[in-house]
Amino acid sequence: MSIYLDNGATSYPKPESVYVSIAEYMRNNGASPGRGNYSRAMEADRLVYMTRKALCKLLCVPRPGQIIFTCNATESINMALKGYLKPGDRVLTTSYEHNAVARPLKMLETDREIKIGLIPSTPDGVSDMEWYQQELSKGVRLVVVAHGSNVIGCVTPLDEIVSAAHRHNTPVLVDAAQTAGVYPVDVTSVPVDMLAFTGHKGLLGPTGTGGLYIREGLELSTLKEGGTGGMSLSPFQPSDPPDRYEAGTMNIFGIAGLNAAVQFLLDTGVEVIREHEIELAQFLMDGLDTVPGVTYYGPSSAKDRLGLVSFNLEGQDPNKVAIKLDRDYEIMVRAGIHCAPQAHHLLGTAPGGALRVSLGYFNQREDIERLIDALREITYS
Amino acid sequence: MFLQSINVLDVDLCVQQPDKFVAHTRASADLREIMPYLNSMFRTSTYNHDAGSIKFTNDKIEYTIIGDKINIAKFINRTELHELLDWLKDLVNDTYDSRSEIIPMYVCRKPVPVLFIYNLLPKTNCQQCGEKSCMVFAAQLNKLEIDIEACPILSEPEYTANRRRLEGAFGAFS
Repeated sequence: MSIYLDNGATSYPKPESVYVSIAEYMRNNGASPGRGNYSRAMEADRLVYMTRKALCKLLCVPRPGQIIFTCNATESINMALKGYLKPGDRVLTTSYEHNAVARPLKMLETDREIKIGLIPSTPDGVSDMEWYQQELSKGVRLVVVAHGSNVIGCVTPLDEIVSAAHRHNTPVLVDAAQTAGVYPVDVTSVPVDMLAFTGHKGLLGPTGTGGLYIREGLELSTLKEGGTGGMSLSPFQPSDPPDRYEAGTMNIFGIAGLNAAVQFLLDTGVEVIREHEIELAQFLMDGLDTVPGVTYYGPSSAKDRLGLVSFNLEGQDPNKVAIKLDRDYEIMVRAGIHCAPQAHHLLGTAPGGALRVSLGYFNQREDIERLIDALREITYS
Repeated sequence: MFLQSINVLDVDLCVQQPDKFVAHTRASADLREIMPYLNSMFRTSTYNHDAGSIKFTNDKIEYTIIGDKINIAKFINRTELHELLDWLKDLVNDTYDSRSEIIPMYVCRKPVPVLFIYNLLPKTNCQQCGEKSCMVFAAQLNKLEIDIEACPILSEPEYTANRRRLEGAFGAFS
């Protein structure tokens, strides 16, 4: 039986209710939310609202209208960066951002001549807070940070980042692609200004779903304009969220699955999932310690990291090891740069990258035991 | 639970404010039983016991309930509509659960006449309240779409008596 250990890319399997919910919606409803006055369109509308409400509960968002649905975290981040930054603005970000952040910023550097400052960081992902605070005092329009690194597995201390930024009236955009659903996120107690998330990773929903939380009072320029199902006579996009940012027909099948997924998380409890991942991550690191020639990256304690561990085997090409794990052992892990080249430069693992094992709620200790046995055989062969 | 759900039947543009919407909905229970209690709680309500209808305003949103039919007007989008439906459902159920502690009101409130209000205002047309004139302020207050506190001159000592009469007029009905 194959073992899936690439939950950092997308989670698998999904809760049974996700499959059921999508199939049920496709077979028995199929209407477009907000686009009709017949009962099934109204039910679709209600489903979208209930999904926003469930996400509000999960992420401690005050009002459903503050959750904007998108296709994924990348679209959410693009919406935030391109809707907020103006020519000449200065942005601070980290060295372990995913390309979902790094590439739009690079594009804006060319198109709008924004200036990007990278917060110095240790290979364990600990940011230089003294440097950060000094830079904030020089005038920064936006801080963009990953809540959790998809390579190092470190978790950003959002409370410190946000409180320092807010002392200078600088808003903070958080990329929660790796944390939403597997790590507590509370935008009320740690008042981030925008938070981007994807539906298909820790949230356990389908691909093609995601969202952006925008705090009340913060208004972005729109990334796209189009039909919203209401005020159709007006030549302009509605001014109020979420319609302001949600032009075009929604991915309602995806939202049906996401709704079931978030309900599963609320019923299970993010704390329970987090505990499970800590236990598995520690078990994994302890196992890796027994494999000769292994170097793993990021925080040494599982409590300080997400349920993902990147590592290399001495003298082995990580891509070849990943292929061998798949072909000979039916174990799926991710090798390479993980769309985060700066993180690998920080670790000194570019250009080959590393092997990444990213755990999920449905993984068990036996999966890790089989991985460790396979790595030992590969090492000795 | 007294009220299980409120289902949206249709959504249309609001005639009075074309940049807002109106929705026609149906509740899972007839709400006549709860209306005298809602009437007691909302000073903006217009209640007709014989017809089994009540109309009230909350946060600039208008609610009209006739039996199990509920019309909601002046919301900005469907997300807000569903928030309002959740709020209304909770309100009805909380009111139903607490009805032994609320004194029901079976008669319709009478609005305070615009001229009665106007005669107690400073008539300076200073616009400090945000309205164009004292007459417009009086009309707004008559519809309870502005607070007495919005007129700063009414807080001055020489207007204490007028202010008290106004508060009394509204307090008598609230």
